[in-house]
Amino acid sequence: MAALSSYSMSASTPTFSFQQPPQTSSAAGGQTQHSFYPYTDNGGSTLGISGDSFTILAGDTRSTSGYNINTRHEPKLFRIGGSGPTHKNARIVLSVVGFAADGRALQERLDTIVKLYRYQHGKDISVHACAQRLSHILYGKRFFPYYVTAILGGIDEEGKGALYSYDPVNLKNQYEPEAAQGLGKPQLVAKPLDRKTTEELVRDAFTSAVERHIEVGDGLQMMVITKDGIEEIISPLKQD
Amino acid sequence: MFTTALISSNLELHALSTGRKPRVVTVMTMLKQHLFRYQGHIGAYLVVAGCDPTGAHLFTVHAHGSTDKLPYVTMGSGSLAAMSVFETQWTRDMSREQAVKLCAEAIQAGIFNDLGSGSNVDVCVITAEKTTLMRNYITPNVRERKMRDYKFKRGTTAILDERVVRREAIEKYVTVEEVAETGTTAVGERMDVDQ
Amino acid sequence: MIMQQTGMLGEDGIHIDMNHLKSGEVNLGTSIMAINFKDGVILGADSRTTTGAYIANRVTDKLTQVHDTIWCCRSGSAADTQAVADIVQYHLGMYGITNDEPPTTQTAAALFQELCYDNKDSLSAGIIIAGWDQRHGGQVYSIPLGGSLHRQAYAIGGSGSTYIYGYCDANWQEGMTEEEGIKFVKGALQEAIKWDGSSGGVIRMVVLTAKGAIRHLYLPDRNYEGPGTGKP
Repeated sequence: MAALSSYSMSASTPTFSFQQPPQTSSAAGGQTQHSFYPYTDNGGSTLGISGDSFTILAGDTRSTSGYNINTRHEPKLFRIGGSGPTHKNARIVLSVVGFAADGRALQERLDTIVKLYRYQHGKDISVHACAQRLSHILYGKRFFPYYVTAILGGIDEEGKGALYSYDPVNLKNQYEPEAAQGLGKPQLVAKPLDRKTTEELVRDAFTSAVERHIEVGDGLQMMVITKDGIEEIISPLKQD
Repeated sequence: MFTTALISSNLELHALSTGRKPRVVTVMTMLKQHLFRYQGHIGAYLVVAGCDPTGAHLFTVHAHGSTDKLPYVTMGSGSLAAMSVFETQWTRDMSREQAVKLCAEAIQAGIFNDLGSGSNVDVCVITAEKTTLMRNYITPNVRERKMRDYKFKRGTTAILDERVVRREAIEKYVTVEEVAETGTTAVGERMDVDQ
Repeated sequence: MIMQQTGMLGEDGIHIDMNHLKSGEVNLGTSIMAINFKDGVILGADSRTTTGAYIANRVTDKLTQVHDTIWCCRSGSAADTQAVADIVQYHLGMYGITNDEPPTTQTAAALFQELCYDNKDSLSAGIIIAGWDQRHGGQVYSIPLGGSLHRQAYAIGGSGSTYIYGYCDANWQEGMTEEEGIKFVKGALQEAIKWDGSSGGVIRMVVLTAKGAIRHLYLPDRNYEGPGTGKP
């Protein structure tokens, strides 16, 4: 059948990035296995640093698929629980990297929950409670996860910077501003960074990442959360 | 890298044995026959260009050994972006300046739109008389200065123990070999490192 | 990417999937044909070369000369068919010089067949050979994937050929004039290009008669209309 049927049909047709060609396995005696992979990696980087009176979250704004750039401005940082299109009075920021569509879905869910909390309880949710809810949301989809690594940042009830990081199904860490690990000299005590230093450090981190990681670039989105609110700073990064 | 060096070497020998100037088609044929023998396992995708007694020629050679002869060619992951520039801007009988500019534009399309390409534009112009390699012809991606200084202060590393080893004690482990002087000619490739 | 398995044992023997022999290589997902007419033969081909969905060359010349009036149409892997054609061209060149007489189309076809049959496990090449020689006039041979050789009145090949079996069968006539022959080839290839995604670009033709080889070129931006020869 194969010998005379055709000379050459084009071997590969355009496929979606989440599609894999059917595979013929030898063990199964020539049975064709079809599969569906519903995730895409949209790349990028995010980071968070907490200080004693602020938390900074940052992420690049490039969205990729494979070797292509989808857009040069797709924010990875989202204000959570604010009102109206400007997210007024929000005090919590969520950052997401991984599969951007899941990231947006997660952000919308968390935003709704935080808003409902205010309507039901008549007060803003604490960052700690919000972090706990996020953990539950993620684990609730343990067997079909949101394909994202998230960071949640804000100001805690004592006015100190609070930061939480997640893997796709769970809370990983709660960062304490003073906590530091390692063997050091006694004169090297871990102390929280001031805001200016932190902002410079974040930008330097991203300009370094841009040099050696192809999925990072185009723009740097930074959100500084203080007791007075959220300040957003967007600055350009290299576009190559 | 090895493939191009091998072909370059064979081409020199070929030119010596025939007593004629090498031709672009000869290089192309040698490359395609070499690559075809290895059935694509040598993953070399090349653009072959040059001027010889028969004129100026441009070829692409794929890893499996197929070749194409075209008036404008692109290769690599950024080839689609670069080709889109050629397909919209290329015209027959362009001047040298126009051609250099168009090539630089095409490469920049790759640099900015393809994640596999980046940094600077190199341009090489080959005429019957001479070859001019313009390395870093355009540098649209200069690294910006860091905002802070990340040098460790002297004394950051704690000294736990101090011991002095004298030169005589380690001399027996060292062999000194004088390397013959090499000229700076015939340097095929060199990287410029910043600073 | 996972390499596709190439051979498997079914109820009715071994099935070999030639399309997956070498993944990621340049393909001539082609429409090619050659016909006999009153004074000789006409070869025709589209000009598209693809790597996956990307058109690596939109003005490819798939009509390759292997001797003065013996040409071939190439389909399948670009690398394989170029290599085979180069070898045959070398042998026919040697033949012509040593015998002081041009080779016949049959000789050329036999050479092609030997290469395609002996190396059928590693080649994906579908070749049509057409030529004109003093002894037999115009002749058309076809060598499909396995390396068998068939003499035909006309031959069509490549992925696009599946769309034009009906057209060719309905419109084919023995002993056409050159003008009728060109019309037949052009009409068939236009349909193949229209329906087959991996065929496209310009239509190239070569007319082989006692007078020698004459090239034709028909461009899509002129709706594939003539003159075909001379300066377009």
